[in-house]
Amino acid sequence: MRKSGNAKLVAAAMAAAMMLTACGGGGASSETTTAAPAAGGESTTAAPAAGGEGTTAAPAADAGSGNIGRTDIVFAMQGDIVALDPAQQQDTTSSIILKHVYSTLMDTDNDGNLVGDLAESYEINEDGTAFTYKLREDAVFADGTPVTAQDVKFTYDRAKDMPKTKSNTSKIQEVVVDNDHQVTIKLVEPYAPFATIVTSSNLSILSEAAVTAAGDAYGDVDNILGSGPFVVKEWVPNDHYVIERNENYWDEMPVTTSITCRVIPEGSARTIALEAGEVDLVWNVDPTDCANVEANPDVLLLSQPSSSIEYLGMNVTKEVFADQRVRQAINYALDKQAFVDTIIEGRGTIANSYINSAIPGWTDEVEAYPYDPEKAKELLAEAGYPDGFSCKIYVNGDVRTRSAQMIQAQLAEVGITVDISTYEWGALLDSLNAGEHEMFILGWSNSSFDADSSTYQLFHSTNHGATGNRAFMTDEKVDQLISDAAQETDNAKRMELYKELQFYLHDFSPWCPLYYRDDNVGVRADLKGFELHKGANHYLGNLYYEN
Amino acid sequence: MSRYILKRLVMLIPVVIGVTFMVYFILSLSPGDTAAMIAGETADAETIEAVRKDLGLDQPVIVQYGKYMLNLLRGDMGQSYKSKRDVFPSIMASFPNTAKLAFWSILVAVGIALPIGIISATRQYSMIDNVGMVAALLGVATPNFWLGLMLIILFSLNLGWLPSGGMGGWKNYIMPAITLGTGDAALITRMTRSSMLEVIRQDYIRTARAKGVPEKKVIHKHALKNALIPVVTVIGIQFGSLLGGATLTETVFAWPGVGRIVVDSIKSKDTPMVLGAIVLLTITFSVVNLAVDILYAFIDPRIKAQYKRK
Repeated sequence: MRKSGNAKLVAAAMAAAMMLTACGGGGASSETTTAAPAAGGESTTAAPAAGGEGTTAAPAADAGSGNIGRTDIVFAMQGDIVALDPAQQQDTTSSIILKHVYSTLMDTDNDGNLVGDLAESYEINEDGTAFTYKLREDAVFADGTPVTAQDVKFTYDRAKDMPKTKSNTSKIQEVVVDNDHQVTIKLVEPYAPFATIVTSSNLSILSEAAVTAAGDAYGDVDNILGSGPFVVKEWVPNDHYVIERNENYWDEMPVTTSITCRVIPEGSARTIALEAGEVDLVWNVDPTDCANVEANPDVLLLSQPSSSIEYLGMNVTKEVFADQRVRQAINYALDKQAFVDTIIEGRGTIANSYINSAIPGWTDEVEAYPYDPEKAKELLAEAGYPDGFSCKIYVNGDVRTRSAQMIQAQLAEVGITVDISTYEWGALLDSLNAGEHEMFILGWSNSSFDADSSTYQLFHSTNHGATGNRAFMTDEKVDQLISDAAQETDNAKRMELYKELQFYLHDFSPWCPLYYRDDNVGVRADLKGFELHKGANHYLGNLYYEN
Repeated sequence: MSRYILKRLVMLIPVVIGVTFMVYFILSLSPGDTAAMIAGETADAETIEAVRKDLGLDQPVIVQYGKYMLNLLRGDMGQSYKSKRDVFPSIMASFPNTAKLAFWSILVAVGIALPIGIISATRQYSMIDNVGMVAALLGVATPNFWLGLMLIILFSLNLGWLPSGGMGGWKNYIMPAITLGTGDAALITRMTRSSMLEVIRQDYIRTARAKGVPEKKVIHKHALKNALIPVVTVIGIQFGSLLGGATLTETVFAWPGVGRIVVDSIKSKDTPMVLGAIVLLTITFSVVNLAVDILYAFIDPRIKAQYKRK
């Protein structure tokens, strides 16, 4: 008896260890989840070729018509929030609730234009090193205390010391309180992207008094204080959270009285919950479920281009890929439309350039390399590979493995033999960061809605490896264009620089850009007041049903 | 008996130490830079270093493990790398959800399995036996997530009888419990059948029948009780693993259980969360096993006698 008992204990230990190994082998999600959209100055972006305009269920202005029925809204998301302390998070899911609960200095409207939030206006000094924000005098936190310049200074000073907000505040030299309602942020050097960085949810303005009083407990449901249109009522991790209208809100009062977010990790289950009427809105409908939503008259699918790009990257330090002709040949050899049609089931568009199509600075003038295997063979022959060559591609997860198989098949047509290595997410990043790879597939989601975030980390020579430049590209001209654009205070000139950069990158071809995925929202057909936000930062405060 | 229980409970200490040690080192050996994973894909080098320092990941693994164990001895499971929230309350918030689901699932499983298993054995090769065994085979072979989705499509989408997921009233338990229960039922049915078949061929069953004991009594009192030992073992193991969380089922039904936490934490290399959950699961699993061993004594007098001798 005793013996069998011991054996069972050992078995328990082994079972636990085995379970861990088994789970560890599972595919990890690779999609970046940061998003704090904001667009710089005038919207210079042309409407993207496909994907359609933001379809709106009903304009928010109708909300006051007295015909309002149910105003407690339930929506579904894939994942749970990470933290309620803005500075402790940088993921999409958390930023959605934080955008409803807190305010930032500036914000973006649905078209991506920069608009005032707590600041009614701002000025940039001549050399672009100081941003002065004039705060609204009527703004108050949910407990009725006024939002002051001191709170802004406190928030930014605190952010400088916290890991997840460090990169957003790294260019700040000091924050000066000019008076109760005016604050000047001095930068170490001219840095144009700062204008949109202040819209990041992790720079949401905190109440100095509340944070100081709560200490380490700040971020618990009972211990947060924002100045946004909603207040947090309840959070049951991994299940749901509830936010309710902030009756002290100082700007346009929301129509919606309460918003419940249900965490439904499985894509089909999310769609079914919408179709069955259990939820009123699904934030992210999987590409495979879009057709079901479209076929059902009770629900609507709203799509727009997202701010993400999926690409095949090439390590330019490896022998064959050091040759520009080889990289261009691969661009010619791939039929990008096939990836759009099969991998994302047509829910997106071919990536023509290196910047996401939703980001100001993206140009439609660059044309994706046409599918031309003959041209590819010519270029390969010129480069000294008339019979092709063998190389490896590193990927993770099911979706990217399927993409890699398509690449394998298409490149075989021009004589290139591709060997696919599938890794677990962490292992993949390790290999890519060490520069062992030849080709790889990754995605990039622009977190700040500024073209700088789509270029500096990915192509600047100081960012090889972990930081984002996994093509290991080193090019003086690219470095120069990126830093010039970041320092340029004239927006029109800035956009010109990004255009030049995209033409240059297109020619250099460190990647073969594959596709821009669509951002798909599902709503009940009779839900009123929903409008798509260009950066997928939709506002839910105007949702209601009519009686 | 109580000495035996105490001994088994004390044995838990080395088991927990062994498990945490293994898990800690497997996690630290597994590829992937924890700081980079926590900082996120778009983090720059400066952010990654700041996160590394903040989490104490710049120290040697053995030092990190030592610190973790010292804190664990004081009852402190640390904070999640990802959310910075305390590990113990985070896990304890979802453990009851998993436990409740496990309880109903095992009830469904036993409720289906015992009757079918017994009937199959007493009427071997009959129609019922054949149908039962084919159903059991199907039950074992059906993937949980598929069955779950089919149930959702039928009962939530088409019929609109049951909520598609999440926790709430008793209605929310029905589909997940059936999904998990049927898979386990299949296994338990087969075990009940074969164990019963073995027992009803024993001499004492023939003796009982020869004495003229009614067939019902022979099966229920003489055969079943003796056949239950391996069945209880299987039920115990199944229940133990249900308590560990059923990740796929939890995902399909948006059930806020432990399984999802463990898998999400492993993916994001959130070591304190993984360890916290594993420690808790190790203890739970061991206690369930202990309970099963004690249960033997109540089912089988021969085993009870052994305890008394000790």
